[in-house]
Amino acid sequence: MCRNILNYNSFRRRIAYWVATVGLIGGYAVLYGATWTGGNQLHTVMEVTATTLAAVVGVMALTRYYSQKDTIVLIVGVGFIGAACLDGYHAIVTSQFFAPYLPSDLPMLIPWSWIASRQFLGIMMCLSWVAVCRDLRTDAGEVNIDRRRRERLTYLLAFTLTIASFAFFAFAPLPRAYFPELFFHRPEEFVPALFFLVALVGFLRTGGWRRSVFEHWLILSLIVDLFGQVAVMSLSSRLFDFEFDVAHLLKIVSYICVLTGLLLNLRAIFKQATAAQNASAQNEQRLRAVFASVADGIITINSKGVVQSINTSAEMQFGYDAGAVIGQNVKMLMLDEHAENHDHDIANYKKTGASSIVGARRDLMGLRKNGSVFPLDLIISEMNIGGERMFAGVIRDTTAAKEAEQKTIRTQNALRRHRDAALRIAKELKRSNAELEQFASVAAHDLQEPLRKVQAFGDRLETKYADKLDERGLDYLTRMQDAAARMQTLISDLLSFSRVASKADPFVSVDLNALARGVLSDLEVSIEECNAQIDIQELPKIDGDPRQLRQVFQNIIGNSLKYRREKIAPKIKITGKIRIEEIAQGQPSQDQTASDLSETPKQICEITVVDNGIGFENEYAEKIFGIFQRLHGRTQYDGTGIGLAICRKIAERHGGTVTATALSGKGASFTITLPVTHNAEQTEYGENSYEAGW
Amino acid sequence: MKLDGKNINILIADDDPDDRLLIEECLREARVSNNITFVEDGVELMDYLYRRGKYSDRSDAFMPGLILLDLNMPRKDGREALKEIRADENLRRIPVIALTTSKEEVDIFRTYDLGVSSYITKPVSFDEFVKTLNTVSEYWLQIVHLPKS
Repeated sequence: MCRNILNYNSFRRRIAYWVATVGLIGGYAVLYGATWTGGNQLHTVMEVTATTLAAVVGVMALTRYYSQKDTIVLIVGVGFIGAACLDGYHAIVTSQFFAPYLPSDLPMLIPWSWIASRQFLGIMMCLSWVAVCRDLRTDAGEVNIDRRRRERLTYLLAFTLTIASFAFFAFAPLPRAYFPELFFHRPEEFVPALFFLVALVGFLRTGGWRRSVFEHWLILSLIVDLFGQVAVMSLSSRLFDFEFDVAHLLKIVSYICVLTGLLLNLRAIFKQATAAQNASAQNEQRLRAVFASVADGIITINSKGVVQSINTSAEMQFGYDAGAVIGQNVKMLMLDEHAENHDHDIANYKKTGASSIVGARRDLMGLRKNGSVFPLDLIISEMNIGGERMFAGVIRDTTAAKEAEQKTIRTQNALRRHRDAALRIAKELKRSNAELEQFASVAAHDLQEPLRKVQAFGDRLETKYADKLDERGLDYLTRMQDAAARMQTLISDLLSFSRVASKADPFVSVDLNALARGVLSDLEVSIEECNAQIDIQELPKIDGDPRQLRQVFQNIIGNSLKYRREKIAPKIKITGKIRIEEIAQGQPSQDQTASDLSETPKQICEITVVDNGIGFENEYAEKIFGIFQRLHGRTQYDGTGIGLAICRKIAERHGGTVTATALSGKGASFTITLPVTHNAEQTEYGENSYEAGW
Repeated sequence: MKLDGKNINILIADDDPDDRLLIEECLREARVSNNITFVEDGVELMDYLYRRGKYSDRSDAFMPGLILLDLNMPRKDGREALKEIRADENLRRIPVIALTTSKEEVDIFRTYDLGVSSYITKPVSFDEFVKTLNTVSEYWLQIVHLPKS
């Protein structure tokens, strides 16, 4: 990008040089041979103008030099100051006012004083080129050291040359200036032209014009100077002729070129400065905005601990206005014990340069205006601003963080307590469940004993003393015996129920097809009795306690047979399928621990038994699984209502469920879900014992 | 044979007085005329067999030829008594019949392991009890040959 602009500039400037050269030559060729003649007065006006311009250029260049040191500008500036003096002298002598006091005649004095000015400027131009070349060869550092000397040298040289010129004109008689016998009437003009040529070629070769607008215009001015000297003034055949006036005009043009270069250079510098200023203003604004809006408090102090600045966040943190803090010692924001440490730390740091505080993060307590304290996190960094050592402290109010930390800890504790409580309750439940089962078992055993006596002595009464009782007495006795028999059934059912857990077998692989067929053969008599049709579809193979699973099938099929509709042959259909458990609906049995819930989806075997029996009201769908829950009177259907409760308990022991649905027509549907496989730890082993006549 | 059987003393160990009464009545109904003695627990049973304590003056004639043993008794239960009987050279040939309410398979296995001669569960109804004891007494007192003590 930069290089592109440079190339573009370079091209444009090169064109400008050609245009200037061709323009001058062309213009001069058109006007060549003109016989227009000016006069002494015109000459004086032009020289006064030139003098003024040279002075302006010189002063501006020197001013510019002292704001931004640049050797070329210095030499050019000094050169123009000198040129202004000589031009001024030249202007004055041509005015004929001083003619009597000078040793030479005016026709000689005018061209030679012209030459003196030109010659002086030519030498200065060459010198500036030499200086540029030297600058290019030396390091920037050396240039700086050398500057003073160079300035002095330049002034001295310029002064000497100027004085020498004056002195020469004042005391030496001058030779003739016009040589009409030659083609170039004023061959002496080639001497300054040579210097201009050297300077022009030199500047073009060092290439500064590509970058610097000042050097660019300097080259343009040199082209004009050279042309003026070589092609115009040298051809002047007498004072005030056309060539003489054009040459003077060209000198003014060349001065204007240098002035333009200077002005453009100043403009560029000004623009740069403005941009830099804008950038730095923006930068500062940005920093200020950050300083003001940053959530952390920032306080800067000097090496004595006096607050230099405090941002809005820190004002809010401490409850002070900036005005109340700035200029005060920072200790006002600290608790006393911290303040002492602070003094010590700062003193120590200043002495040894080693610090326990700079760069380190510290937990401290801040002191608010209202006297309250708050926890803060402080990071101190050191700065060096304008040679003064300063410290910046970044302060973060950690009240919220500390509270959040506390809250997290509290929450975690609460969670832990809840979990512990839940585990305790689960353990408690399991224990009380086990106790209940044990109670059922023990109670059933112990109840059985006196009941047996009631029945036995009832029997004795009936056998031995029936003839001694009247009809009513016998009725009482019969009722008593019936009740005892019923209680006997209840107790043995209760025992069966409690044995689901206490008399369980380990899980093995069970073929449900074979198991169901076995149940059907057990129920053969009642099946034939009621002419039932039982359709068993292909059933899966699962892990389970075969004796208990058989019990489930037996109870449910038995129920379907028992609760058949009158005069309608029972139709029972048993189907089975395997599906993947949806985790969300997983119903953990009481025996499962929490860890089982997080396991991968399990395969679930779902067995459905559908009958065409009397069914039930759907509102009882859950109740029928309760222990000793019955929907019919004893006289209608016998049984205690333990069958389905046992089924559910067995299913739950297997980690499954049993549910019932009344069908919209007549009948009921029982659905048993059981996990297909079991992990070893999920299996609950009962006492490894068998009991006949389940 | 029958005469032999009639001379056999029957010793019954049962802690429950109701059961003792019922067993006695059952045996009477079953027309068992043998001499019947009751003890109330395992300790008394062993005292009787070893002629200790209050049975120290028991005559040889009352040595039991058949023992009906309840398994669940205070102080010393039937299993312990059975173990001691089977461990004693002089007593080990006496047939011991477990007569209990327990239908637990574990009890049945364990009792046979201890060397019980028969394991009988007390039936619920009296009539059946009578029938059972009738069969038992017929079998043990009339059919089988028992070693002479």
